[in-house]
Amino acid sequence: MTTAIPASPSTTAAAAGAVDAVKTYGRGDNEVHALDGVTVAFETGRFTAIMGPSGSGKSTLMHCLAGLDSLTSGAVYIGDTYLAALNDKQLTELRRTAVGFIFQAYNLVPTLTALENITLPLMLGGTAGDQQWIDRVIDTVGLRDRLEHRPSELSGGQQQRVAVARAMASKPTIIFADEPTGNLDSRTGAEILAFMRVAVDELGQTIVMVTHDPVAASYADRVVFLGDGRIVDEMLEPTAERVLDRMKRFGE
Amino acid sequence: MLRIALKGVLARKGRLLLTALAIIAGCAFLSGVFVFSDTIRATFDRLFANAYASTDAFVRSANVIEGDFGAESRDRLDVAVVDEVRALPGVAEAFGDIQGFARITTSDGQVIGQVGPPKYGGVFIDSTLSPWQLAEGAPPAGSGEVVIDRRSAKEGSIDVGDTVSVTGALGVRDFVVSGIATFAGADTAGGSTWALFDLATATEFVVGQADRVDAIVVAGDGSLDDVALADSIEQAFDGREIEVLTGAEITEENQDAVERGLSFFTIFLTIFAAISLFVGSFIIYNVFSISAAQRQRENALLRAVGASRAQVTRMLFVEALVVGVLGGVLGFAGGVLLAVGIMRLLRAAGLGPSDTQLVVNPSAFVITLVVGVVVTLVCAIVPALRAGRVPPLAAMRDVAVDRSAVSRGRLMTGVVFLVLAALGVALGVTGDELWLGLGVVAMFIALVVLGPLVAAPIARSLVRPLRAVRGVTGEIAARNAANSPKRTALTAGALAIGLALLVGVSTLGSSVKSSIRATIAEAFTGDYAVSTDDAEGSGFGGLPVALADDLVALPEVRNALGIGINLLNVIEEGEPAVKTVLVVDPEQAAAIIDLTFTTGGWDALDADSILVSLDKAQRDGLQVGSTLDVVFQDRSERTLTVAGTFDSDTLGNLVVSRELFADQDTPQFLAQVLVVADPAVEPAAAEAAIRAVTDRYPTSKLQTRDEFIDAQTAQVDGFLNFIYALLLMSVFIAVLGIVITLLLSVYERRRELGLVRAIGMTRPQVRSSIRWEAFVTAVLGVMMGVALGLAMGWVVVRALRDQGLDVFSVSVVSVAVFAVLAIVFAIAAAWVPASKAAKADILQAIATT
Repeated sequence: MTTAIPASPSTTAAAAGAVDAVKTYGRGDNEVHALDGVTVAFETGRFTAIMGPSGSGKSTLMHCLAGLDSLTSGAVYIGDTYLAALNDKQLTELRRTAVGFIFQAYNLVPTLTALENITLPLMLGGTAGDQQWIDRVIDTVGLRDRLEHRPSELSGGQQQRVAVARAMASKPTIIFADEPTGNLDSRTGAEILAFMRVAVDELGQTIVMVTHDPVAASYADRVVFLGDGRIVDEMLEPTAERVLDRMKRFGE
Repeated sequence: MLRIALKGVLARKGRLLLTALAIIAGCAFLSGVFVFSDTIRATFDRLFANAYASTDAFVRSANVIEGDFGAESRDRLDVAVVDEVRALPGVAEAFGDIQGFARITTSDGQVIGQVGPPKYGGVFIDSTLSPWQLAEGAPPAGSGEVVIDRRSAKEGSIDVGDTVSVTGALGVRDFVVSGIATFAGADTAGGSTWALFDLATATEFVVGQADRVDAIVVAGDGSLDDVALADSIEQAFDGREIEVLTGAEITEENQDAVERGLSFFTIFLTIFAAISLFVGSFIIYNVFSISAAQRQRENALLRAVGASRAQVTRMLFVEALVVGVLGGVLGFAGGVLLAVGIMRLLRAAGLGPSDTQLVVNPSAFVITLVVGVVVTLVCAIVPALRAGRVPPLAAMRDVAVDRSAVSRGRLMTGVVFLVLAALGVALGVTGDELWLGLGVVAMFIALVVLGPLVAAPIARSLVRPLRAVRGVTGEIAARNAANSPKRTALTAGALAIGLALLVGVSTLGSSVKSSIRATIAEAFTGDYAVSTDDAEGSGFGGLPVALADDLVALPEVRNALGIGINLLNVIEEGEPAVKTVLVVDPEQAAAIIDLTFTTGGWDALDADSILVSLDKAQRDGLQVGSTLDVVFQDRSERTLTVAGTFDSDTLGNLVVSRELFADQDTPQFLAQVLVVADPAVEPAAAEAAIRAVTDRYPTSKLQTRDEFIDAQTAQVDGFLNFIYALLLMSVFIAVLGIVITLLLSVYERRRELGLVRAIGMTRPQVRSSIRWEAFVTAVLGVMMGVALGLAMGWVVVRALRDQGLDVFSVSVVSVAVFAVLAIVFAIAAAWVPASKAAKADILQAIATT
């Protein structure tokens, strides 16, 4: 960490954000700037998509925001916690309590039932969680009759719904989704995105989603475009067409 | 294809070493046994070659009775024969020799030498003929002087001119050390202690028979070669029960005797090495299976680009070959180190020869290598065939772990073997004991086959308790163990076999002890027992007959029965057969031993009669009044009348009166004396009086009834501990197996581990979940092992019922200790895979490409 931790971000409503985030891989001639000074905030109760071509740094940004990876310089925060100040144990606890994850694949622990997978972060923390909330989440994603099934007995879409439910189970400050529909056919993908939309609109969740699919991005309230490790553009109330148009310009 | 295979092997060096570990451990054990026994053999060969280096001929009595297990009773020669031999043509020197027991104690009471190597008393032969040469001082002159070996001198800081007290078989006496001698340049011969006297003192003091010698060592004057010299001496004594060996023959005879003892020992140890390899083979099979499954995609890709099934299979065999060779070579190196370590330990403990030189035979290397390679290749057969069967299409699919378990075929096979096991045991119990062995083998196979079937339910049954104790990490651990039942079962199975053997041996030992207790308690109605100090007196007779007489003479003693054991040639169907007979004083025996006679009794036993067990009587059709012809050591014959038949298996088959041997030349010794105090006398006073007598007999050891019984069972404990130590290697390999399997599982589950780390599992929680998985595996192994061990123990005890093993007893404490130790070791050993798992890279795990 070369820079001092900056003062509190201007938007108090931000669930998470980065300030002048730099992430460098390699040294000398091989040096690659995955993030080259990114400053961004994600407001509470909003669904944000991060887009950009391969290698633009969108996954790196998300990993750093979620405390899975560390910055070379700059700062990231979740709620009012700066991650740089945390050790591994504190980071783990933060991920357990304040962050939810939805990955593209390998999302579930194969030996646990759907219900156990959903409540896993809570169980790891040794708490039962808010039972009413969990029930509501389960009903929202429509998994009531699938709770005792193992992941191998669920379809890809069902598995991803379990992952969505798990991400919300601990009422996290923010949910990160990394290409959540990448492994699904378009209909199932649309279903998952609809659930995520409901989670934001009706359950008040905050979601940040990395994707390269304009259709997926169109479910978000806001799209942040990344190119070569910098934020190059932003779009509110996106549609698939407008996102696609913007993406095409990356190729130029 | 070979190049691809070798590249694959080399690319996974860690995996290679991991796979080889189990085989390395087994091979190290095996080659350690070889190197150790080769070294010991060479040491003794050299010892005897030195001992008889200058001996051209060796003269001894031809009267000998050889019993079982190399027990031998040979007549002595009259000392006059020495002079006769010396006068013969071709003989330059001839000396009488004696070998007996003698313990050296320094003037301030320090006993020289350790438990284990013998303490010898003999004749100092003042000639270049003898391997013993003075390092300082002078030969012993007269009955008050002794020469001792240099090692004893060093140990006790004894100098020439010091006084030491020496305990012979018959008493203690003080001697002045006239000289200190070396054996063929070494401080002593094979770790033993030596007190050497002049001939007259040796015969009178060491063996208590003046004018008798064990043998005569002869040096020729060079006019005849050894064979001719031996022949000429033998001819000179024609018709006089004397045999003559050349120096080479007596050397070889002694070397052969050691070889025989050692080969039994080697075979015994090799069996345990084989058990280790067997346990290791489970691990190797498991590693190859997992390895092949994890590389399914890679193998499928090879198939897709045109590799044939056979080629893929062959690749795995090449890998197995490399592992086997590596395991054999490293195992051999480990074995040499092991042998060196054991010899160092023995030397540090003062046991065994100090002048050993490590002997590493090429044959030991070749055998170890071949065994290592063959075991590994055999273990690789099934995984290799399975690897070849992978469809090319699997290259496009996700890697699947073999999670299948309950196939109908497996269940059927397992049940068939279980039935066979039950059948074998049932047949064995009622008839031929061979069936019992087959039953046990079937039990083992049933365990291996049925293991995966029980693994999942048992592991699953642990989910709830573990969840209660350890929360979700415990639950995940148990679920993971339940999830790949074959793997868990094989890993647990290796532990189960090690543990089953431990439990089986402990059960056998416990039953033996209980049987001994019951038998002694039944047969021995005395208050005290006098036995010989077995570590000291072994091989040198025992207690003098006079001890029993002295005890009988005490007013505080009501009865004292000396029990001797002797060898006797009994003519059966015209052929002499060596039998062990119990020698007693019938009058005392009648008072002390509570024996059930079916006919006759103690009072009928005299110098011309014999008591026969009911078993033998029925077998040979003997009854009171029948006659048995016997031949003594001096070839004299006598006909004995059966004076009674008794129903007991504690006294052997034949009991005779000590009067039978009264006019025999060889001294009679007692193995033990049973004493009944006069009930009217205060016990403390009685014991004091008895102790006053036994103290006069240096090799005697007085024990109360309880002490005596404990001492008898303590011998079993010593042997048990020895076997436990040997089986520990198997358990070590099994625990190693748990570590290896978990390491592979961690590697396989790295994505899953990364995921749970991402969503909030702390590193300690990850470590804990792996450790608890080891716990579940170990618990499974312990359950199967204890069950199998108890079954095995019962079968063996049952099989030995005819040998007097009539009590089945389980040492609950031992079994519990083994079980807990196995589990604790497994959890402790899981530290390695646990910390590996905690280091799982989250980003790599969730990377989508």
